[in-house]
Amino acid sequence: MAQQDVEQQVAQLQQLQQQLSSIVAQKQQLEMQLREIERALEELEEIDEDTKIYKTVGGLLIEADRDEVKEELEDRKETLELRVKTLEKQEKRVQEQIESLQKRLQKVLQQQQQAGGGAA
Amino acid sequence: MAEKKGKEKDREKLQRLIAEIQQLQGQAEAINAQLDLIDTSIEELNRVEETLKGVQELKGEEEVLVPVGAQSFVKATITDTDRVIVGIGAGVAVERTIDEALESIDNRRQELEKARSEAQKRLQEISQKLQEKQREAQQLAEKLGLTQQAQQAQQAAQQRQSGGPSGGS
Repeated sequence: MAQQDVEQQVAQLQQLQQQLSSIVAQKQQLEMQLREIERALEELEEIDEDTKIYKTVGGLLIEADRDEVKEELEDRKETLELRVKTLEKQEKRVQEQIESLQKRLQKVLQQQQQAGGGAA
Repeated sequence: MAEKKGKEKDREKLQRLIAEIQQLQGQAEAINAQLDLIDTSIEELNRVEETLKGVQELKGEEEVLVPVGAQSFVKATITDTDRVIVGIGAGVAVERTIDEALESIDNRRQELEKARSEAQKRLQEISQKLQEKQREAQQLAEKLGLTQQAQQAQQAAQQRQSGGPSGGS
């Protein structure tokens, strides 16, 4: 493989690695939101029936119906879970691409080293 | 030739050590950021605890000044000195008695303090490892006659130890 191709592939590898870390960061953020919702749902289960519940609307708190709030949280949870799953798939795919590219590059570099060592 | 090869190996080892050192430094920085966050949360809990205890002692007739931001206050009376509305995350809040709220504040503070001591322990472990690696790198650099690199490694170490951990404060 020509030196130019190697450089191109290294650049591609770096790009993929960046992509991977951005995917991982996105996933972590969504997972945090997910945990927050799960905790809130657990908390809602534990409190008494007649406890007043409020929803934040901008900077205000407005009284809300318990079942409605629960339903809304469940919906959000579902959406988040779906998005996390999609990101997991993407993560895996990019990871695989990185691994195969790394292997290929390693091989080429080894060959170059051997050839270089022989010449010197 | 053999000597040359040995030198080459040492150089590679040094490079690896430097990479490890940088990685450890990154980890230490992340933990320091975490510690700052924990401290801020504990401070906030302490503040709200004090406020709620103060509210509990009111009769509900007194005029209080409620902060609305930017050092500005409006006059108000607290009509219910037994209850408080507490956020449970995800944009939801529930009404609680102040006693219940104080209890959960206490629990959360204990959790945070536990997390803090764990993070501190991890930080200590990393600092120790960092020192070992730095010593190793320095020795190797000296052996290779790379006094400049050795100095750089030392400088980086000192920067990290003096400036790094307290950098967030």
